Amino acid sequence: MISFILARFARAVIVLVLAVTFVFVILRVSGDPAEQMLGDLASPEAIAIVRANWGLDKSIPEQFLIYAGNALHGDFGVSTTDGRPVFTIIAERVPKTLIITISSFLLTVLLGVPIGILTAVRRGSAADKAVMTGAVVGYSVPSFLLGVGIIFLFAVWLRVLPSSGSSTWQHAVLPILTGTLAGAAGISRFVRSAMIDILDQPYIAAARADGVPEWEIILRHALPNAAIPLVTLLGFSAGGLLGGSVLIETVFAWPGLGSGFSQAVSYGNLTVVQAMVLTFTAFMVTINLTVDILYAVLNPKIRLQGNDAS
Amino acid sequence: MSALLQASDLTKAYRLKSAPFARPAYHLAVNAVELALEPRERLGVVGESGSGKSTLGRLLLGLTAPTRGEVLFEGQSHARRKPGDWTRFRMRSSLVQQNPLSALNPQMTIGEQVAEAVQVHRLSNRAGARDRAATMLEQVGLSSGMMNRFPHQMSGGQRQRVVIARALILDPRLVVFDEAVSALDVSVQAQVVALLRSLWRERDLAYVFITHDLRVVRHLVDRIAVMYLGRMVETGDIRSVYSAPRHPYTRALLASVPTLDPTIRNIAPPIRGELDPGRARQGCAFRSRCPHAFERCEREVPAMRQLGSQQVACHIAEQFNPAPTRQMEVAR
Repeated sequence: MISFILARFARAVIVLVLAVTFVFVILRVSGDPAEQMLGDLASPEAIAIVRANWGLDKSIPEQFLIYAGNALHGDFGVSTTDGRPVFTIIAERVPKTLIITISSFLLTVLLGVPIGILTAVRRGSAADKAVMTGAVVGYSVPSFLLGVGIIFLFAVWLRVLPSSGSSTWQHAVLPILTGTLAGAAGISRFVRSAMIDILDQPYIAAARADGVPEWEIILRHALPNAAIPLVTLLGFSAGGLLGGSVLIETVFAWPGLGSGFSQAVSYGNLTVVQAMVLTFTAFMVTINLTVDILYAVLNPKIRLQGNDAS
Repeated sequence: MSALLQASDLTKAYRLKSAPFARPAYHLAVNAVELALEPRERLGVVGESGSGKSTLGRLLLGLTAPTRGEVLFEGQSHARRKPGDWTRFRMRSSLVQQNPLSALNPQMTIGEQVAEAVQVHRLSNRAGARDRAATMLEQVGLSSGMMNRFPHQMSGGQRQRVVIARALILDPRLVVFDEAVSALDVSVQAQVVALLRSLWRERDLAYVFITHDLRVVRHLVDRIAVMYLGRMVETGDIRSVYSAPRHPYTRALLASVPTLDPTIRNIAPPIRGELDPGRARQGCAFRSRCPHAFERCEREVPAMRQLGSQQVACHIAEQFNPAPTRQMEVAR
């Protein structure tokens, strides 16, 4: 178990290093960063000055070593657009994004898992069919379109909630709702099919024949077995929420990592883009590591690897 | 009423998938089955796949509701059971299924699963339940040290012993064994059969042993019932049925049992083809495969009749008088 976790941890670090290296190189070979910062009309002299200032005149391996050395000391440089330290910019935006993604994720689980269980237990009923039709719709509509629809409903038509900004808690409601609806739709469909599959297993019939109460069959026998594939899917869905923050935060003008990232890309803000990719990658790697560990904790076949009897 | 378990007119119909607005079609998995089981009686139910024997087992245990007919356990009908009565019935009955790997929860230890019934019915505290599970595991030939193992850490034979231990821990009066040894290797099968025989001797236990294996069942039951397409076609004492089968289907089944005696060889299979559910509508369900079928079999369902020591549902059962297709010794 310990060696399993250590191996996964080492792999996570390798993924992080490779991703950062890859992005660093790609950003430099896919076009001159200095030209991107200054635009098409800049004079060659201005471009040369910018190159020298930002160290872009050195070779890429050299630039990378300098960058990596500074990054290890927590120095990610300054923003090329306003000169503020990149670390400060990221530190401001991370909590904003985490509020939206963690709340959406928790609500996704709290909504999706019970709905999935109930529809599986009542499969074929009118309620099951209605909820699952809704889930297909929620799952199919892209999040930016869902976001616009939600803005129209709550901000324009009902006028009960603000549609953009982040000054009050009410501002967080619509982005969280958007993230939750799409996520819960996918999770509930998955939980339903996993539960239906497991409730047909012979060990469930055996538990029923032994007189185990139905709620205990669902919670003690079926749910832990459905949780194994569910954890994998929840990892995807957490990753999807983070990636989706680029769209959702832009739609709701929420000043988090996602909207910051799309702005930085459009301004060619090299240092900020690099640091944000590093941050996103770190989150993704952490999610995957958590999934791997949870998977081992939940599944005795993996937990007990190496000391099997035949 | 002295019978432990009694089923009358027991019928289970499954609705078949049909086009919208079409008249719904039904498959009669179990069709008007009559059955009675005395305390400590051992009944074998045999038939090929699709004959409805597993559904019969589920009906007897009340795991699925019949479309028609009823099941009485100790004189009380499943249909009139209140939740408390169900709990009492669940404590006195059990189920053992075919594949022991899928019959065990992969996430729970052997000890937890064997002890579960004790805990669910609050017959003992946690430690007491564990002690009972350990004792029960020893009774099925497993060491109590296996309590903390998971199903995937055991062999097939060990798993089936665990499933049997889980079924017997509350000392039930009735167990349904559904193909309980079919998934096991022949050598392991023999051990489990011996185990079941000795467990039965020590207990006040009646069971229904569902199988397609005519050789295994003769070591395990007193009486046998042969099913074909949801109907019971012949039933009686195992010795008399095996030595003088009356129904053409029983005769064909027994003649098809492979033997190690090289002087007895079945060149031609006695019956051909497969189950034909469309034939269950009217007349004898077996007629399409029966070498003796005649005009009456087309229109009239043969009723169960007492004939000597067994009951047979065939219009011309008398013709198949004792001259057996082949003798099969019945071990006792």
